[in-house]
Amino acid sequence: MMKAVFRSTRQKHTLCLLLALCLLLSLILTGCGNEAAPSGRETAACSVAFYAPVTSDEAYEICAMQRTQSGLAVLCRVGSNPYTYELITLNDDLTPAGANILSEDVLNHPVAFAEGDSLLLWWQDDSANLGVVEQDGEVLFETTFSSDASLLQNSEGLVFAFSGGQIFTQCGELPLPSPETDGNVCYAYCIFEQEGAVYAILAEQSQRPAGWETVGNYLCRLDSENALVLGEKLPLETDITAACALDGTLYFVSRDVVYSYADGLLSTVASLISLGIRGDCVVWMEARQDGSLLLALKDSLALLTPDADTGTRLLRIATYGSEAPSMLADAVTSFNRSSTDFKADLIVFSSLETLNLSIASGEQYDLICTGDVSTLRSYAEKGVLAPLDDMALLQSEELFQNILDACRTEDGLYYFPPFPCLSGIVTPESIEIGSIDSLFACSEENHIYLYSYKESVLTSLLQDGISPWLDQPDGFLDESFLRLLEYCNGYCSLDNVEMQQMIEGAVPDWKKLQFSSISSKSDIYWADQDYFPMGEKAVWHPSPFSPYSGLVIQDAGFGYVGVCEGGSMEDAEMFLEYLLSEQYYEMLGVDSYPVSSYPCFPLRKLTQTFSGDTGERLYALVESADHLCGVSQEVTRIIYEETGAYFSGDIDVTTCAQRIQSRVDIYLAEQGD
Amino acid sequence: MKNRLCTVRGKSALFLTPSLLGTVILFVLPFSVVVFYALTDYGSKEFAGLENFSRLLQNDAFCLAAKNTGILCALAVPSAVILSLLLALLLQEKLPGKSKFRTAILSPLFVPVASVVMIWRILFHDNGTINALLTQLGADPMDWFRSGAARYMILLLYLWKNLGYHMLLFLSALSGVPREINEAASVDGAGCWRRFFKIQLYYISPTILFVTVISFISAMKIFREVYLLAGAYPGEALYLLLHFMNTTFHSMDYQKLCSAAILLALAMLLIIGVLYFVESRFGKDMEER
Repeated sequence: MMKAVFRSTRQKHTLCLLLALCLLLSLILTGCGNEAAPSGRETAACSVAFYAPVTSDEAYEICAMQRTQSGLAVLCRVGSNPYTYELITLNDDLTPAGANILSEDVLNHPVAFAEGDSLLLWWQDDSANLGVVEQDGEVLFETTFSSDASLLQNSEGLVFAFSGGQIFTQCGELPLPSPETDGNVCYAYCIFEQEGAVYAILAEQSQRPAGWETVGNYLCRLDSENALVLGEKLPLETDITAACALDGTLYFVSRDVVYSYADGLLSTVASLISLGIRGDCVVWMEARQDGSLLLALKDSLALLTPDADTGTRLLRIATYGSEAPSMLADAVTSFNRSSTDFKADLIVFSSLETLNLSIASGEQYDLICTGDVSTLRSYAEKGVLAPLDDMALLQSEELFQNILDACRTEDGLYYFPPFPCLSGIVTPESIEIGSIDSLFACSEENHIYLYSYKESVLTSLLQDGISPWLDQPDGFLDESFLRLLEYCNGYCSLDNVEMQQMIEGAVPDWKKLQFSSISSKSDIYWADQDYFPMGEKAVWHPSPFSPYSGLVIQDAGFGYVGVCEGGSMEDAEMFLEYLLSEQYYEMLGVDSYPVSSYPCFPLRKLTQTFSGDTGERLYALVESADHLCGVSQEVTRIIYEETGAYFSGDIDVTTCAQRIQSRVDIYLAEQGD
Repeated sequence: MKNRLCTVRGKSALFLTPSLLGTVILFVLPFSVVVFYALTDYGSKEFAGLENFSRLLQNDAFCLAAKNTGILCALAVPSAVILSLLLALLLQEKLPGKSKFRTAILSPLFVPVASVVMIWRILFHDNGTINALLTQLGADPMDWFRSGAARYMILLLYLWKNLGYHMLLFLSALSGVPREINEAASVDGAGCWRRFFKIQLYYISPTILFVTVISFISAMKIFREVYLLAGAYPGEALYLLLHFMNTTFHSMDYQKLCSAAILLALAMLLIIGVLYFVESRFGKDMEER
């Protein structure tokens, strides 16, 4: 048969060679496809130059920017008087050419502008109404929205005012196209003009259990009848905050990344975080003929120039979640702005599983940052993280070593919270530590007014940590956890008085106290005054829901940081040094030591803020904390799943706690050896 | 070289190379990696011997998962074999609506798991249909997801999903039994059960073995339905081996995962080996008849 099929040996050999090549190609492609690509973006090579639209050193904030007939113009709030608004014209090199003061009125001020036959301004008045006026005062139309305002006028004199997802004109509100799916709604995200035509980016949103979620973005164009027509769907389903177009290419900003879209292809132009820019700070953008992009940020102008690799060292920081924690993104942005030798790239994975897959497939990162300390603990056990015991930065006596010791495992120190906070969780016995105690009094008042759902209350309380129950055998069967569930369950049905009585009934000695924290130097003097009505010695009562004794260390929203084994320890230390520097603390405005969930305090002792007896007692209080209070997402999920039946009245609180404990026991058994 | 390639042996080797390469790369190598992870320490990657296995056997979660999986297999496999065989025997008789009944038995095979899970959740919820019926009959409602009854709920789901396929296999096997022998036995006065146990059972014993083996493998692999019903950490009665392996995979604990996979493979090999041994002895008797 072989002889019949193949007439010559040469044909047989050729076929064998082809088969072998096919196999090799499939193996290569399989190998390439196995790499778990992060959901974040690769850093496209791009450099950035920052410009200030003001000549002096005055503080300013950019509200709007437009290209006018005479060039570029920026609307800024300028100077020590925060109610002074100026319209600044710019030269070609983005330096200020001139400025006109538009307003110094606190109640009536411009929020956007556009140039037509005359200058159009969009004013917000004392009733939070927005009115589009000509400079001579004639009002064209008014709306009641007051957020994210921008203004545009086309060549026909039609004015478009965009605010709060809607577009208004002199003729009334512009109807937005209907979405393709019933039940979904369309919101406008931005409007821009290209070659005389007005475009808008509309987001189609669908209601999910967690809230409205963008499921599609459309590029819409205003037709000849001045109606918006639903156009091409863009290959991106995240919120678009700014957009522009040039020569048929659309540029837009979404989630800290600049994209370009042309001929159906979406490309990444730049990762804004790696350039020291937050995406939500972009007010306006323009694409230029030389290939650069001009972004108007709230605090400066940024000119992005795509270019070849500049040779800066790249620090790769991995995290996971629907988006990066705000504190982390701000820190990376700030670091990138201040550093010329290093660029930190923040890679955000959609879930812990994808991050794990990426690490397991051999992807190398320098730092990993997560809010779930159990993740880093397991990474340390698996050798993913490098020990930090020898890092000189962390051995300094200027840091709170008790916090680092609380993070230490049997094998050493592998992670720590650069921005911790303390949670006051104590037994019913009060702690009296002198008059300064009054400054650390906590209250439950903030819970009463902010939440309207039992699940929200539960979320809020669980954010204080669950390790008090997790670390004890049958901890979830403890009375304190049952009381917590009952508190959440009874929340919505009680008024303030009933709630107060219920809380006092749970822990008779617990009383509501005034919330206070040391927020600035001046607050120190409060302690010397008889400010609180509790008497000379205030007592500090705990949250009534936890059986723990002592202060507990938590992360305040930045996350816990670990350095990866095999990553650049030197570069990672540079970044950590920046995080723990006085310079960064000043930028954050962190100079306090509150004892509540938020905000945070610095890991480095601020000796110049507190001194003498006050400082010593304050540090003693912080240094008394020796236990890390972690949040386990898996256990929290179990709690949410089981409390549903209790909140809806199907089961009692004891059964609910037993179910939680049973499932948590399996989780804990899995983690153990 | 050219002469060597042109010989029959050379050509055979050349044509076998792609398949061999595929087998090595896609099967042998991954298996070797599994063994490597199971025998090394997860920090230093040094040889750890059987330490991972020893640690695994002391892990309460693994023991619970293995126990639950064993109980489920012990319930599911005999039930699946016996019920599907009975159904096949029933469908062999001349019954009205036989084809519609066969279609009804087979249709769960084509229903997506997610839809099935949704229906099961409605049926067995605390306020679901079954508990409502029980309440109306005067009985107490049951916690179908967290009590011991959870096993029977999953067993029911497993049987509902798989009986059709097993029944088809038995129908095919029963149709291969020689009719003459049955007729001769019937003429000799043998009743239907005697004919079944003395004649048909022997002829369909290879199929019984096959159905037992695939039922056993399917029962060991039950995970998707339980995961969709009860999450990654279900109640104690529903926590199965694949739950354990799923979470160890997600937490990158490859040593534990690979050790568990090897123990699971060895257990299955042992049980299937015993089944084959029994069948070979039983089948030998049949051939001698």
